[in-house]
Amino acid sequence: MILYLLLIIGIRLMGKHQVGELEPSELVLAMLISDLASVPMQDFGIPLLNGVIPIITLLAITMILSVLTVHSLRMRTLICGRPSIIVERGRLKQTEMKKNRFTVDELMEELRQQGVTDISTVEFAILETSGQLSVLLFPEYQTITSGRFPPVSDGGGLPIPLINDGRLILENLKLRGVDETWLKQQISMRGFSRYEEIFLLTVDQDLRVYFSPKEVSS
Amino acid sequence: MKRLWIAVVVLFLVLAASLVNNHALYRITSDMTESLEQAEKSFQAGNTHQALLLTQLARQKWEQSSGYLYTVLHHTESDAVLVLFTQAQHYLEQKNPGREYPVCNAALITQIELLYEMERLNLKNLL
Repeated sequence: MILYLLLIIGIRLMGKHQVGELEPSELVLAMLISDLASVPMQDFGIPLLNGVIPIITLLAITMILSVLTVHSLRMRTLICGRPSIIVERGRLKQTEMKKNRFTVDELMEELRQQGVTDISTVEFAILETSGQLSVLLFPEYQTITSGRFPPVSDGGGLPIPLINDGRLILENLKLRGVDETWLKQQISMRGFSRYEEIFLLTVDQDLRVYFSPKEVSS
Repeated sequence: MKRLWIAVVVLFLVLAASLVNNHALYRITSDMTESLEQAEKSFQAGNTHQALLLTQLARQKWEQSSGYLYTVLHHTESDAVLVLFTQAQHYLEQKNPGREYPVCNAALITQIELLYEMERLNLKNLL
């Protein structure tokens, strides 16, 4: 009970925003204190102080870091990282994706979860330091507000990737009812010849293509 | 900034408490090992009764501090000391303690020294 109360007090002291959104340092803290608290709880042969002292120490260190991150931008960047723009004006930023080890599949999943199926409608997709993806659509695709008409649905259905990071996905090719000849034609129309040169190519039900070539590494 | 200073003070208090604990453990364990070493010398000199009294005195010191020791140390370590105290006393109460008492007393002294050693702030313990 003592340890439980200590954890509740500690989490309250950390501030409200930390309960819902865990920064990397907070995730580490949560994992460590849960482990530290569980050991004396399970084993009566281990004194309570063996759990209490490290937890208090960790909470104090986290408190110091959290105050420092509020006051110093450098410290904030060092401890929490900085948001990364993954999609900018409908274009995938592959360097940022690689830096964050964020795959196309993960991006598509996140976008679908937010009701977005077409990357070309995304003005900005920002990977926040908490790991959440913020998606900002182009104004014409945004939800109706008091001053804006609803966007007209142009159909198209769900775009599925045919080429993901240079790899052809044959299943999706069949699913879309197209063949490699059609795909190669689409690629050559855009000035490319090999699958390896393409980072992402998606096709919707109306066979509209979203195309993003691989960035040439400098 | 108030929170920062509170956290810094808490950290210093934890550090101070660990240093005080270190010192307290040294004081308690060195008192006991001293008595037990004297008991060993008395035993070697043939004075088994004196050795028994000194061992009992060391055990009394242990029991006086047992509340504190059980709060700061793993109970298995403290229990091991208690078992060795009982064994050492048992050997000394026998008519012919023979070689068993010195072996048991050496183990007891080592176990008590280890209690302090494992709580010391040094690189060996940290790593």
